[in-house]
Amino acid sequence: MKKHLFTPNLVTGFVSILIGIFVIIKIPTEIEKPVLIFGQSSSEIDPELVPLIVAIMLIIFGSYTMIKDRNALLNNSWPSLTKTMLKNVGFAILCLTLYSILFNSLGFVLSSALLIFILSKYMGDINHYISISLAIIFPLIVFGIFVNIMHVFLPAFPFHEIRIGNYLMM
Amino acid sequence: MLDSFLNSFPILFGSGNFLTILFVVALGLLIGLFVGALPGLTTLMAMAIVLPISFFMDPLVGIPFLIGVYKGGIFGGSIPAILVSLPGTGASVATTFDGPPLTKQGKGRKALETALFSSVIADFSSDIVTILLIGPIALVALLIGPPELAAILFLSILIISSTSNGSVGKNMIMLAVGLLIALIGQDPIAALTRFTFDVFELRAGIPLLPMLIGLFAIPEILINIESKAKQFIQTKLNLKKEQKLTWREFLGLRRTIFRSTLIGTTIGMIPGVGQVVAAFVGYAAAKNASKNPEKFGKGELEGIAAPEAANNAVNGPTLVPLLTLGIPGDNVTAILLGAFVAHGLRPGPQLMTEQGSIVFAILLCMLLANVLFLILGYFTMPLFSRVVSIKKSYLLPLTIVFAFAGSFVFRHNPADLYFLLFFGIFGYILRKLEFDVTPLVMAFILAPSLEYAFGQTLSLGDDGLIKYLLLERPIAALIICATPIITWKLWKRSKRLRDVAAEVTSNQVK
Repeated sequence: MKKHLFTPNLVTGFVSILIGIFVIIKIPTEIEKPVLIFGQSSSEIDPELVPLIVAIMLIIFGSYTMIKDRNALLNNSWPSLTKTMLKNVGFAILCLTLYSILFNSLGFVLSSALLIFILSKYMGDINHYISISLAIIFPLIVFGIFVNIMHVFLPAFPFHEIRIGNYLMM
Repeated sequence: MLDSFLNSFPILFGSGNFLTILFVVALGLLIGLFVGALPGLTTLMAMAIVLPISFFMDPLVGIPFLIGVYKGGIFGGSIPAILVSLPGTGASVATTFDGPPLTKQGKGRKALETALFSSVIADFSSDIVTILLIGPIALVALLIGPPELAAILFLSILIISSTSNGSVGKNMIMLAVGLLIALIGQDPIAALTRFTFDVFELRAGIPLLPMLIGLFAIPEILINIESKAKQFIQTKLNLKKEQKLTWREFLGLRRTIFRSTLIGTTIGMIPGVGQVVAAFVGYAAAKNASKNPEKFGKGELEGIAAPEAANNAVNGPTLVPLLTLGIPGDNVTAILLGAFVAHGLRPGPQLMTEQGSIVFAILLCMLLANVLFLILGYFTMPLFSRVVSIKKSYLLPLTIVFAFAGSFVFRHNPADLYFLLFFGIFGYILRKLEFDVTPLVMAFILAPSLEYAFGQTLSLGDDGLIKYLLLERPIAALIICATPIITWKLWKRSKRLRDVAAEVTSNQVK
């Protein structure tokens, strides 16, 4: 078997060690100091103890992985990803990021309708009538269930609330 | 404990909720069957996505709803495994050995009925074992104090990490990462802020729900999007025209079902091993015990009954450590733990004394769910056998919308959507690097209790921890001393079980 110099597992182990060191460096500044009451600490144990244990665990297990599991071909499916696969996943992540941003500003129904239509069109082999119908009907149903039946909040259409009787539609 | 059990009957049957419970359990079973029947989408994903809905229901309604999804999903996974040789869930991989040959012989309906009856019988039996075991174990659990609890929690996360899939080193890194994520926010002892990097959204810590949905649902969606295939599979089966399972054939399977139920129930009590291994071990045991082992893999009904009974028998016993000690044994029970906590029921030693009746009522719901499962599964089988042909270009975007809506509604915080996205991408990368996220999730969930119990122990043993443990807390000391041995033994055992599973798979491939 061909030996690789930088295998994903080797990098993973190295990153684990780096995170461990980063935690140790950040412990003095990123942990609030306990208040002293009559000269006694308000915390029963040193607040830095548990983070230090976790950091040491990261360093030890990272080192173990670097030494023992460095052969990526045995424990990794990353190399089997093709460029097309990565492109598809990248596009989906981009859609999800935009959806997260637009969720509040456009409201749940409109942003969801856009996501469903764009993503189903990208994935292909769709009947446009079904796709558009789903993009309109499904977010309305989910919005109706959450807002009108379960009485929880989802962002409504920002410009004008649309109601039928007492029911908020979008 | 007996009083709690007896009181659970009026709570369940006397409340006005009974019909609602039946309805939501049936709904959960149908959702589980639907998702399980779709190859590529798992029960875990379905549970993660519907988890927020359960938060807005009464605990006696919401938790049985999730249990319905769980039970339905495990059986649903067998439908494509039998019909088109594509396992809907990992637990049904062993079913692909004999299911498709039976379908080719025109016995698809027989195979599906075998899977259904074996699943229901095994699930029902293991649920009864769970109800019988949970009382005595809860009584023992009540005797433990902070040092024992800390020792048990520490032992549990070590066992879960060592028995999870993949290499021990990577699992231990996941464990440490889970603990690290749990550090963010406030420490559970003095509520001191830590590792927030002055980001306001991190002050309350990482929210559990977006993390669970992100790690369990989004990676599966992204993996399905990778190949952009047109649809899951095309099939033109007509189950209505096929022969049904006869009473004689069913009686011939009773030994296999009994054996696999025992195997599944035992494996269910070992944290981190789970349904996949149980199904393979059940299959291997049935083949070894058979007078005609050569028929296995060529269309043998026992080859369906064995893995299906074994993987469903795991369902009940995994709840024993969860409900008595607050320790989830696998990802599914981690999601159930999230539901319990959201309903104000904190699993652990106190739960059975404070809310024992509700817990027993939920366990009785599991038995009811099995009856509904049998009826619904039998009549909807032809319908769900068509689900395998639904186009994923329609289904996946809808799943995403539901996942995002579910993550948002719990706290109404837009930051939760970013947490969801972050953990989704993180979970996808971990899946590709073949990390098992189970230790991460378990460590995250158990870390606050562990840290709190650890802090109390240090405080109690202020004058000398070792002396305190040896003289005043010998059981805690014993657990700590036995931790390496128990972990090692269970690691060896789970490795052996996985080797059996791998051997069965390689034999079938040959």
